[in-house]
Amino acid sequence: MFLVAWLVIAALLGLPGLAGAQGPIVAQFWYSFGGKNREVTEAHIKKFNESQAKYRIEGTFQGDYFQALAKIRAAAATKTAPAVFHVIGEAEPQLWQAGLFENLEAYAKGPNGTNLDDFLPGQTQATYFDYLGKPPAPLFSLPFFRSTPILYYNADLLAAKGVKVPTTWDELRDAAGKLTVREGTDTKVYGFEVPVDWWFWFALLHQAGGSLLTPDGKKAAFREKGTEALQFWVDLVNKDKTMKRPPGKDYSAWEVANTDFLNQRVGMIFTSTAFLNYITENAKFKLGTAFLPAKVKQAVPTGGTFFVVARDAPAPQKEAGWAFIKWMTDPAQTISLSKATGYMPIRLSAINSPEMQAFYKENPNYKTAIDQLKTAQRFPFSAALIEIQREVIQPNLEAAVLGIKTAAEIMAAAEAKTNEILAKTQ
Amino acid sequence: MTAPRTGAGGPSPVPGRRRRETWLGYALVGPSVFLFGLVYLYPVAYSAWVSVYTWDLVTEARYVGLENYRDLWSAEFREVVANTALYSVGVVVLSQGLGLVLAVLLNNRTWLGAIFQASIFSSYVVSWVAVSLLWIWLLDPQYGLVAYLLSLVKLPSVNWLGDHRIALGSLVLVTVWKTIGYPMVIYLAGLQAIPGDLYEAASLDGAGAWQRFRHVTWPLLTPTTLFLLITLTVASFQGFDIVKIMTQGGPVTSTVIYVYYIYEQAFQYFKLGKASAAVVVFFAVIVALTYLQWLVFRRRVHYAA
Amino acid sequence: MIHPNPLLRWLTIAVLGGVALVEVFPYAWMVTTSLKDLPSVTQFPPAWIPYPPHWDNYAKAWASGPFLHYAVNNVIQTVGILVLQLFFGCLAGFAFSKLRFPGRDLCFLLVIACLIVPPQVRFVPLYILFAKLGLLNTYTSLILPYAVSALGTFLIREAFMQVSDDIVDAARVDGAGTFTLVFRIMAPIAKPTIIAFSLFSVVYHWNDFFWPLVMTTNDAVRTLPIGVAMLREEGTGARWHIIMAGSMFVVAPVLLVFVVAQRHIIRAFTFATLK
Repeated sequence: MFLVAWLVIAALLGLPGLAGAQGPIVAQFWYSFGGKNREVTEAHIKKFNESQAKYRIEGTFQGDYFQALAKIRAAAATKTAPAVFHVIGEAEPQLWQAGLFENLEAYAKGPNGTNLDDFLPGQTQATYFDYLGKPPAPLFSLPFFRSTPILYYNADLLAAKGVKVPTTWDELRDAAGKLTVREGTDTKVYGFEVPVDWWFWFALLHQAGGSLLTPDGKKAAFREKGTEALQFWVDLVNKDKTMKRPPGKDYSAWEVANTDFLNQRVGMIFTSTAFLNYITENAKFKLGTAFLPAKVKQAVPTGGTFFVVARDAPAPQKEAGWAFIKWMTDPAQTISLSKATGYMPIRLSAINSPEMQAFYKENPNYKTAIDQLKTAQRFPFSAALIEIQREVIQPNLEAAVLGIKTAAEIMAAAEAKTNEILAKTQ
Repeated sequence: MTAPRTGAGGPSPVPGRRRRETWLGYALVGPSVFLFGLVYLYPVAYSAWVSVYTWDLVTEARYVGLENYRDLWSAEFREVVANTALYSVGVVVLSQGLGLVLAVLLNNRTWLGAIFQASIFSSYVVSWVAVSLLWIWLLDPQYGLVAYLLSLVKLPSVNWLGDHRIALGSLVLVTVWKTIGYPMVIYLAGLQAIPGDLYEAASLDGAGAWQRFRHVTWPLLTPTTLFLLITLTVASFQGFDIVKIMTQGGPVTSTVIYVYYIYEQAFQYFKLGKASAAVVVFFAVIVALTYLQWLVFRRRVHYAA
Repeated sequence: MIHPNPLLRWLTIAVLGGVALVEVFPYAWMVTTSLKDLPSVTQFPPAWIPYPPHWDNYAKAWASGPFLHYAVNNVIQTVGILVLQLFFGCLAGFAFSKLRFPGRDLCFLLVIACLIVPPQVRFVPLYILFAKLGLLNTYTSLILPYAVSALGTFLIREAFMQVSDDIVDAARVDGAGTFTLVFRIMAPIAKPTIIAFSLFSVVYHWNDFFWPLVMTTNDAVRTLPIGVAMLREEGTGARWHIIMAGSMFVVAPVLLVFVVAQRHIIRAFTFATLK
């Protein structure tokens, strides 16, 4: 019986994955989204594989963004990283400096190159970052699914209450007040909702005229205007009581905000243009979109992810990886990707194409994010950026809105912590 | 958990037999211990090693000595320990207690009972992902079902998951709701194993329902109770999914429990050194507690069947 | 016990019915959502009965990935883990409870220490180890890390300690080998514990999403929970009807196992006391 047991164990050992066949160069693409985006991506991967015989890309789902990143880091440590993956912009400086990414300059200018000038300003790595007076990093990423936050509003609700679409913070506050419906102590409809999240705080920070770091990237610069931004939310939630703070962190909160909006429990929300398809399809009311309101000026961050190629992958796989991301960012693909998902096209030629121009004529809401790009703000190219986002700002915004600490206290502590981190990464 | 006991296995005066017993013991325990060492203790040892570095998995690890441990001794970590203890105690006491009550009520083998039993158990086998959205909606203070029911009895709405003072309690309740089927079924089995004539004898002696429970049911359920106590405690210490899916540790840090804290530090902040230090601390505490228990109960005689 | 008092009986039924309703409501909601179409999913107040029922949601979920492959892997993983856990657990449990050898208690202490080492802690070092051994994306990477269970070993040892030494000695005298003694004589006596633990293990590993996700980088050995997770669209509720349909594939087998197993659990407990 012992023998049987050991045989079973031996049998369970090492069923290796399908052996690689001779033929096309196979490369892995690791992504971290499911649902519709996954289906669209897989369809495009298939199309890429069918369109040529030299390379074959295999796409696999790797969990949510952080699980995927953890695996990529672990894989990098064992030299089994995939050839292609995607990362959020804020993580790029640190990972680039850690040597995870392949330099793509030669590929872009080579025989299977791509026209970098055709990319939309605000979407590319070069226009996403502020290089803080230092020489810019070489090209190491291409835009994938990119977005900006926009204001979604329930046009029917606004019309019914005679509320104009707000273009400034004061107008937003006013509008939120007029749209809120209360019955006794219960609020049946909130005027405004936004996830209390780094991305939107960053927008407000810049709208108030502030910036994250000093121009040389050595110290924090957000204390005063960051407090203003956070205090705006605090007042809306606790003083006016016209803003709902969606519970949960990260995407949970975003989902609640979207669901509330669709259920007409809130009149206006800030959220990503990436949900435009979803919200348009499911709204049983007239949907309107607009720029985020300004304080001192109009400002938005961009978001989403960039394609990168792993530096440690074998050369043929890197070649395959480049071919794939070049193809994915070609005008034809960016049009089909955009139409299927609602993310913005990333090429000027795509936006100016007759196809997209006709589409925007019929669906003006899709144009909002693109037009808003001219107010896009840059992120400092600092290895500390991701840490500042995930550890210093993001987890601490809530406490102000919940009334546990004041916005001033939180920003002061955040400034101190940020300077500490910056000192370490110099 | 109970302490390992000594002295099982009887005296073996013949030295040859003793040596064979020793050899047999090693042969039987060896593979297990090897595997435990490989898949459980090696990661812990690895964590101990990483805990004296600062490492984010990509950049060069930097030796920092005991700095991570000093960082741990903070209000944040103490809150995690407190949250974990509260969560575990809440879940174990409530689910075991209510499980017993339900089992007692269900102990009648009718078809109606079978339907109730299956219904109550159904939530145990469903995965968290499937029911998480439902719960977030149910508990929405604006228009969730719970808020609606509360309004029917003129009670104010509660911000179950959004109020940092009660979010952990909400998670305890949701966990109890989800897992109560398990102690119920186990207790039910234990109850139905009690011979009916014991109850008859007790009734004949004039014992009422409560006394029958106290003197017949409860003592005979002791092994079951112990089994559940251990299983539920271990399971509650491994609680992770519910936090990850429902609150992500929030609001603020009010629902961060042990496993979630380690996950957050390691995979969201990429502070493997700090996460590893937390692992070592928890591990050391459990080992110390268990060893203490063993020392204290060393001489205790185990009860015979 | 059936109460002779009808009032108490109705009260009992009311309480149980209420609890059952609260417990089964989410599961029922899962079923009804799996049959809705997209507009009904996001509408509020929610539609309770989907009409017409959209059975094609199940087809869509099934087709979204290699679900049959995932299902097979899920079975292999869960059963493989359980078999090994019981195998090692019984052998070690026997040794810890009935044999004496130097270092026995130290070894057992080591086993106990493993009780609360969660998978999140084990992931990175084991991932790196398996990657170096070329064992990523194999059943080994899913099963081996759970082949021994501290909880199982502990509980089985407890149960074996209840077995009278006379039985052990009698079996030995009759010439029983160790395997016969452990698996043919002692294990059946410890059946209640073994079955109760098995139920716990099966439900846990069948639904386990984290470990199969982090230890695999492709579909070779992936399991159903990952297939369901891939249906999720973060930030939107766009897929909940399909996710529910997919989740039903995960839930149904375990529920079935339970329906069958509960009778065995109860019988096992009953026979244990009729010595």
